[in-house]
Amino acid sequence: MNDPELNKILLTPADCFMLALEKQHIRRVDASNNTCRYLLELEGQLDVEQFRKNISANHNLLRLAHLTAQKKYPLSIPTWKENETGSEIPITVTNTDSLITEEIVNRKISGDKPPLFSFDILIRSSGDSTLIFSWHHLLMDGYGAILLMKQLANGTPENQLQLHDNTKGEKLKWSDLVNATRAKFFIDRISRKPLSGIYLSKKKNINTNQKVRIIRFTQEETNQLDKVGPLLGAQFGRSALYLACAARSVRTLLMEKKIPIHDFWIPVPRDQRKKGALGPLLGNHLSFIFYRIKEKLLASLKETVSSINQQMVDQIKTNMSRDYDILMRFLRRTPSPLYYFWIKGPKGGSLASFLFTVAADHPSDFLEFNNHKIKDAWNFPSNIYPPGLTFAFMRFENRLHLMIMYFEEVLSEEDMNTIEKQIRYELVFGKEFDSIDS
Amino acid sequence: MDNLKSEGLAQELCRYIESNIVDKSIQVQPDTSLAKIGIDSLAIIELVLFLERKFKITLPEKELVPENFISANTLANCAVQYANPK
Repeated sequence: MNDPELNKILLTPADCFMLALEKQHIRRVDASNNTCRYLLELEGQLDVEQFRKNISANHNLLRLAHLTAQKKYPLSIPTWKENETGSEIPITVTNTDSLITEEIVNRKISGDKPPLFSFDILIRSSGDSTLIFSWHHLLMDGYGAILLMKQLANGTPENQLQLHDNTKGEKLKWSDLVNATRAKFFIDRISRKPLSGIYLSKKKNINTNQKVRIIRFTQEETNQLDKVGPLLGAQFGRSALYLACAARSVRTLLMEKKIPIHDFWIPVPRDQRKKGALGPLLGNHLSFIFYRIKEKLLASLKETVSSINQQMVDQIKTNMSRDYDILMRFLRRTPSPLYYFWIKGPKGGSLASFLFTVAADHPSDFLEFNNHKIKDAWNFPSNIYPPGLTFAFMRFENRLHLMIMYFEEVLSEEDMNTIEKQIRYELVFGKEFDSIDS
Repeated sequence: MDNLKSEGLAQELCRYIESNIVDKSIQVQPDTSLAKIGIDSLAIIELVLFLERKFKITLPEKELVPENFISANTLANCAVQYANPK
């Protein structure tokens, strides 16, 4: 049953980062998990039995779900390990009208206990249904998940399911060490303390529920914020505006809680795949762009947007995400405790002031699943604690969706109301929320 | 450089996009919608930096607007004005 091919596939540099995070952090902190979800709202009721049959008959899908990471010897680059596909991929059916239930949001998938993904089908009282794909982030990134869902939707023959890119990984040269060192020094400099963070509890094992706040924007609001961004200095797309508004809303919350404000430190994932690529499904093909938002700029929305925009341009100009990718390539052989120590630095602390991602927009050519119209789609990222607060932006048919993942011990409903009110206002109107009082 | 034409620049942009930004299965024509082939904000920065690096064209801030990034043609039409200063 085991095709030796998959056992030879190396983990990508970002996979190794995920693996170190999983082993050294997530397994030690109860609240943390690295489970992501993609949700499709469908018109009409999905045929559950047919879906079950399709999934259990898809041999490659079963192989993919039963992969785990392995290190063949201490300083080797981890590879995938194909396990027996004995256990079925869980498919749970629930009757509910909630977009996503708290039980699903809190369900964890473990990176070393296959299967590494599962499906939920939610039956709505209206007669519609929702399909949720949940997966462990070690296995694939959000774009890989969309590719997988597209292939399931189109009933692609399983031999066409592109699991991996067949590459054995580029060989590193000694000259790459210069780039890796440059990235390391850059990160050390940009993430120096003091930094502000949202996490309030110092306890590692908090007994808390993960929650999600969904913020929908109409097409008119989305069009309006597209016009606002460039006026504030977001010259290259929307992400600078999104990040500035998210950071300012967190700042407001910290001020309300009388927590001292310092600079913010936010690494943002960057998809490294070529645009329009149809694979591979397996692995994380990510690097990062790193932002330090100065405390003194945060008072002004425009200055915050401009600063983020400039940092984005500078890091692309200097190829910093490429250099960080090279650094991650070097670290692939490093044992995970040492890897994690290097990521976090000697003083430890949070990975970021908060987590932030702009997910790929739902593809415009993916509007049907098994003959059911896709009415809407949502991408829920994983939420690592600390910081335990993740902002994720995406669009479906020119409508902006914002999903905020948080832990109830870290933030209350009232806190989230504060964040929602401010972020919605600032995104749509492009001016400081507090300015409406003055 | 002196006689840089918009058509030639658009072709250069298409080749750059094909080699560096999009999957090899995607062919880029001068009027291909950049948004439709997945050109995002970071890829747009790469295009602007490519113009600076290869053609010494620096686009002023007022030109960094969505209308100039609809296709390779629209970007080339805008950029060419700054390539051949009189």
